[in-house]
Amino acid sequence: MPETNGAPKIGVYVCHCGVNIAAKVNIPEVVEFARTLPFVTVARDYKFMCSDPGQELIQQDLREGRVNRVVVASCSPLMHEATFRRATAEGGQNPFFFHMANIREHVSWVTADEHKATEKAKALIAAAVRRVAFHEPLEKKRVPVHPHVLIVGGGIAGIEAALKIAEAGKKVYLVEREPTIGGHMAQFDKCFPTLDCAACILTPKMTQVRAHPNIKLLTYSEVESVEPYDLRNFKVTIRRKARYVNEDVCTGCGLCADVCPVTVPSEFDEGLGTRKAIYRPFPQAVPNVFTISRRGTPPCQAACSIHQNAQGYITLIAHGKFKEALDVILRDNPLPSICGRICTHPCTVNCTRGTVDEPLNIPGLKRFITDLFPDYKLPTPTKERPEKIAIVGSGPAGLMCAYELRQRGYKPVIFEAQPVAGGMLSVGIPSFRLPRDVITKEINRLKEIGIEIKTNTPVGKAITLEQLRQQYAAVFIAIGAHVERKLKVPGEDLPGVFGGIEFLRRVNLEGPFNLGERVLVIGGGNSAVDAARTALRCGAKEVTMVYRRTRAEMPADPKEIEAAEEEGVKMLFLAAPKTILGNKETGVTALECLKMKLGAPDASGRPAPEPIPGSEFVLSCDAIIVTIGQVPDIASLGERLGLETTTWGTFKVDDVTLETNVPGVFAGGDCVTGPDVVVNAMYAGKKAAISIDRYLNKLDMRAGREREGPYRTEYTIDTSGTPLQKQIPMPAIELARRRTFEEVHTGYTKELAIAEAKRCLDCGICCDCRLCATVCEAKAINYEMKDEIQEIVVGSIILATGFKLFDARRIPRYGYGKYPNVYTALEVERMTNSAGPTGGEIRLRDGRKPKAVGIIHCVGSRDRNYNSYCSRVCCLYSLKLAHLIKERTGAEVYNFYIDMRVPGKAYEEFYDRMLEEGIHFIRGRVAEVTDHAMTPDEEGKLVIRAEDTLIGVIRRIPVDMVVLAVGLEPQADADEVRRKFYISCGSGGFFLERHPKLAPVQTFADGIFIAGACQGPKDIQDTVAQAGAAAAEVLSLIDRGFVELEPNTAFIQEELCSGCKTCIPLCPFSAISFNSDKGVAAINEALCKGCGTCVAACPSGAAQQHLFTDEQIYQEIEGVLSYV
Amino acid sequence: MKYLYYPGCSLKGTSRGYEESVLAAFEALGVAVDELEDWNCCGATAYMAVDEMKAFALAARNLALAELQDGSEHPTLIAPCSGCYLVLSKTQHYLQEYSEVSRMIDGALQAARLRYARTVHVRHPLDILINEIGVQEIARKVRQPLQGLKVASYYGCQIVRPYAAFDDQVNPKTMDNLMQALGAETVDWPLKTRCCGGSLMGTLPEVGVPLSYILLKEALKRGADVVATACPLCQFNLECYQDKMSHQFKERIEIPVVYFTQLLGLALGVSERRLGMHRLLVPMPTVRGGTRPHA
Amino acid sequence: MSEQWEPRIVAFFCTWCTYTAADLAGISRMTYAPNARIVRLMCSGRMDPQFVLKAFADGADGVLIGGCHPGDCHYQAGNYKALRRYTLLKRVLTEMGIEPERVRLEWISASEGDRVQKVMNEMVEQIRKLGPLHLEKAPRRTAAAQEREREAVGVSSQGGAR
Repeated sequence: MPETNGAPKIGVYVCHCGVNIAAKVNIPEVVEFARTLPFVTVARDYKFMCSDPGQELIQQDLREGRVNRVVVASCSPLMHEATFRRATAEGGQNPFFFHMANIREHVSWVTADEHKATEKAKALIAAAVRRVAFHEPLEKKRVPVHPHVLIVGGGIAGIEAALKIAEAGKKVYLVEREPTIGGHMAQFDKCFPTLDCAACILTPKMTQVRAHPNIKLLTYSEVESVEPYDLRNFKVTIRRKARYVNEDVCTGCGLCADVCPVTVPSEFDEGLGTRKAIYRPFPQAVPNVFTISRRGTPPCQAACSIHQNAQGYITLIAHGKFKEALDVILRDNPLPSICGRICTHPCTVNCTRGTVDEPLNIPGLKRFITDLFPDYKLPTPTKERPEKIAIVGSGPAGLMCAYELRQRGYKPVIFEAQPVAGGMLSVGIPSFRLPRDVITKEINRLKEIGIEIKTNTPVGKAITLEQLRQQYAAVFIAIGAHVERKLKVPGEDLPGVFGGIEFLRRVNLEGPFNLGERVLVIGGGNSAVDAARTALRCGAKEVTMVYRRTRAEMPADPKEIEAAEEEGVKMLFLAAPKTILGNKETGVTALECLKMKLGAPDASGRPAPEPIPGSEFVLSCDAIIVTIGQVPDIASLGERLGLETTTWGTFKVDDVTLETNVPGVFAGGDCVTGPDVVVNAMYAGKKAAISIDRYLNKLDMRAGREREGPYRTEYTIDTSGTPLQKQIPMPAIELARRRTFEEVHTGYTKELAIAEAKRCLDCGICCDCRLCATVCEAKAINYEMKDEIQEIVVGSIILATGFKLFDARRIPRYGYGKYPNVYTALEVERMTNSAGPTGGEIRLRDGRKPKAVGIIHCVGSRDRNYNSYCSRVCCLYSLKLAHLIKERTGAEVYNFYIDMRVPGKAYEEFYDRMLEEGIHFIRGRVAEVTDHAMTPDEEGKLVIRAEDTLIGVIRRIPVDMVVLAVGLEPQADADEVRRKFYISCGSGGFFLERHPKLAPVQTFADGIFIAGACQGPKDIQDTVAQAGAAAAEVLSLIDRGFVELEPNTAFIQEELCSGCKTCIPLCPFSAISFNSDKGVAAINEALCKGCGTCVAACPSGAAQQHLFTDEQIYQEIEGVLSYV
Repeated sequence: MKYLYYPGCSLKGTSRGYEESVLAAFEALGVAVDELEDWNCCGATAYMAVDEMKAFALAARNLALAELQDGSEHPTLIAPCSGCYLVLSKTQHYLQEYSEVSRMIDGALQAARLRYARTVHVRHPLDILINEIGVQEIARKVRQPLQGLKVASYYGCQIVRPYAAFDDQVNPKTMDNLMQALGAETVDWPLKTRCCGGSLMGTLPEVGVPLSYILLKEALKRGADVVATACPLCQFNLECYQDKMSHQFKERIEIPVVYFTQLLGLALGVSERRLGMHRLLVPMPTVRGGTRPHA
Repeated sequence: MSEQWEPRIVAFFCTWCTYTAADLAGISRMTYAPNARIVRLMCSGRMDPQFVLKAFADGADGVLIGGCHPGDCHYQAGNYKALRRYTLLKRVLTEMGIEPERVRLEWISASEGDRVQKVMNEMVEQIRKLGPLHLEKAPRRTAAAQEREREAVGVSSQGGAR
């Protein structure tokens, strides 16, 4: 039963609000009407109910017992509810025996017809009266306000507010997403209207912020989330982005930037200047430390199975730092001179440059370095371990595995069946592509660092796997794939028919031998191409490759195919061998083929070749080389510890660890994958080494290995405007000489290498060359740094996130981005700055001084197509720039304006001064900027076409430079941010203030304030003022120490609750729990925020909401409808 | 993909070369187009100016017929004449946006026992060539590259304004991209969409002629051998008044003004006659073997 | 009320977005049809379908519900709850033979005063088209309500609580 204060005696007080209400609503009539309503004992009207005498009226009636409940019909409760509740309380009643009828915002201001307005007012008052009769006394809950403050945005607004609050002795967290505070103001040269130097007034404040004990400065950080900590305070999660430089240690000496090879456009100089990948936006940055921009692993490096850091050594080559480049290469690759020649370079496939013109010749550049330092050494292991590991096979997989193990201190021993080490590298790849001495050198380097290689030691004969397993800590099998696939056609065993690998091995080990005049090579893979080119070098007159698909499907490297054709190898496509003709005596004499056609795609995704019946034809020949793939020679291992194999005759291993079914025995390379490229074999070796290391240290072999092996990078790079320049071809010996085994390509010269390297687009920005670390005496650089998450609790938040400039490209008719001498105002601002990209000189792109400059106002502002609002600062900064330009260059300056908007102290005077300085002002929106010259004096100029509305003519003004006074826009992520902070955006997308006049820095979210340009375009003066206001709001909150909460929480009438639990999941704040003893729902008032969702859902009406009970709302509904 | 094709009056009259070249070029590209049966006046500019609603009604009838004839879910109607393209697009837009127009037009169509379900997509041939067929594909099919020919691509006002359906309003590029795909060079000039004089040529020649003159003078100045147009009226204005300009401005203004589809046809190896190039008043110097005019 | 019929509309607005927007419309002096009477709720999530039925029963011809845009709810998800109930309610109304077009749910943010004006006018036009809702008028007060009212008064006649 509701507690009451006696029989309702309701007083109705109708406010005139001057004429605001009275002019539309017939007040006497309304008052008369009010008197007729139930329980109404008093009805009065007054000019301003909110005034003291107005409130006094109410209080008197209350004190003298004429009324005990109050209805005020005036403005919006959002405006004055608090005022009249206080009045009610001071009149001796509980403040909640009061209700307000909004007859101004919702009636007099929005209704045309006076009669209708009066009727509407009556209805709302009737509703309020009915409602208030059912009001109950309530207590406001007090919640303490946490004294710590968060300020988001380190521009002048954030700086100002932070200092004010910190000075008052309160703790402030200042979060800025850029590496430095200062915001846009730091980019300015002079400030209007006083023309004082921006840096001079800003930088002292910036350093104060850094120095202040009460300010915790979090730069290069962003707010991730804001959650309610309790009813009033916030738990804020902040991401501290990895700088890769230790902020506390860096001294800002700048040596790192001096050595950094990567140069990118400087954001701070609006792209007019450049900066390094490790940088500090500007010399007075706060904190005065460096930051490394990393976009992520470059596509080339990600695509490489062993993640060779290509961008690293390429960038260094471009800067002539060849020794450093070698060190970068050796970081992840022990066989660079081999890879530089024969790697199929997946890196180039993903090279971003390829999307522009042609990818870089990455392997060519690597080879250049290894050729330059023929006697380089591999890094020697830093530690030693006793364990010996057996490796079967000295191909790339075996060698890589041995190297990786050796670097970890182990003692690898390689068993090689062949007389020479290197596996397929030595026997399968012809020396004109990979000279033997190159292989020998690489292998010797490996031997030098303590890797033992036993050649002529076939496992299975000389020693058994079982023995290896017993004598060695672990075994890695990498025997490759050396057994030829057969064609399975008649005549395959005739003399003169060779297997491709067999042929290449023989040539490689015993030297060239005569095959006859005409040679056919069957197959389309790299080995087939090698065989064909080798056959030529064996003296064959005519070599033809026979392939059953077409060029498009050939698995061989297109470059190799090209080379082969250059040398004279012929291609025969869509033909498959049927029978090999000849006999024991003559040997092979011809090949009978079938014509093929391409059918539906097969398992490999390539179209399956289908024979055309009856299409047989015969090719006569002296020798046939069959190169259609190989399988591992597992049999040669003899007994093999019951190692499992696949149906393709390869070893079965765990994909992640490469471990076989026998613990401690690993396998990788071609003997697992089937014939594959070198770099993948090396990848297998590396993988195995990692597994073996973990195996021997009894560590988890699987954990955290996702990023091993090739992957594609997610990010995209803007390549627009990259000047086209195709790949620089690598010099090669002339065709005539390509009949010997001398290496075909002779490699890049220094000049060529540098030129080629310069084509790199720096995808990752930082190229991870790590030169900076070598010069940093403070040892501040840490490439392994990760983003950190920090959680803080605060009671108030000030958003000072500022603005972004309008993108002038959106108005193509002004030619920004098309005509080089069209600039944005901020670009010119940077030019005028003596620390700027031009050292304070205002110059055209070609370095000339401009003789005439046009400044176009309202670019992107006051324009329905873009932003309809006025950006407020453009007129004045245009005047400022006009002055600076005239002063520095003596050029004629034309301002094209719609209206000059210069309100503010000393602004008009500034405008007058500019008029006197002889700057031209043309009133009219500019139609276009064009290079279309119609008269001789327009030749070679930019012509600004505009209407001069003051004299009513179209004018064409030829100028050298156009400056676009671009407007201010909300930050790109303003909407995302305001959601994070539970506030709204107003028109134009700027943050919405609680009241345009009376609460300009408050928001609708308690404890969250806004200051500066994030609330709307404004100049520095107003921004600073707002920052002060926001600081004051925060301080008054903290000093009061608590807030009172609207007691509109929900509650359960237990006697009505059926315990259905409908309400529990609905509560967004999990304030509702189930009391299993009583079998009813229970609401935790401390958590309830009073939305009433549970109340609306309660089927039995047990859940109710203070100030919004069902009955109160029913009464209101009846009220508005009872009288119309 | 099959397309419906709306010729409009010009392509059957003064600008037959446009129709001939559009059809020949599409054929050479292996794209089938069917002429809309029983089509009527598009309701073009003059009509639009006098009585908008009647103009809409006329255009709507064509759209309704297109639905009827095509029968697919989203018929595409190609309108090469800029005027037709604009009026048909505008009608489609108004029918979707403005209930009042919508209601009246449906009534009008009903009187003709027609219904229009608003499904037709009105497109310009340039749009189809660039966004459906694609420059790579076209480049692949080029048999006579327009080596060394310098083209000034002139788009006129109507195909990009007010509806920038497939290209930029101020600096359109589709025709330039097409011309480059054909092996031609394109001159970069700022007047791509500047007024050609339009109907002022007839009504106020003292205003119209200078406007055309500005265009041709700039094209010549930028070293163009030929101006490529996408609009019958532009082509007419720019071609037919060159003598007048020469007299009026005391300088020789002579440059062939062709339909971009005629150049496309040439590059694809279609005979000049089939492209209607014999109809040109300022003959197009042969580009076979890349011989440059004025050279 | 013999004068010609005017639509009677009850509008339930959430205090954070739509009610504020209505205030903004006022501050910006945007006049609109006076037919709607605004009842303020803390959140559109408080919107009990019964309020709508009650309004119709008491003679409303239409009901307008206003809440924050999706994702903007001051209480995280109240507006989604409102949307769910609204969809169900429309079906119930259809069952009852009340045109579902008589109820309208609108997302209007605090800055969209112009939208309040537009929606209010549209709503009135909409209801005007549909005509008056000839619903058998419910007894002025439900028995229960009368009981409660008597209590409210009755208690006092015994001298009140304190």
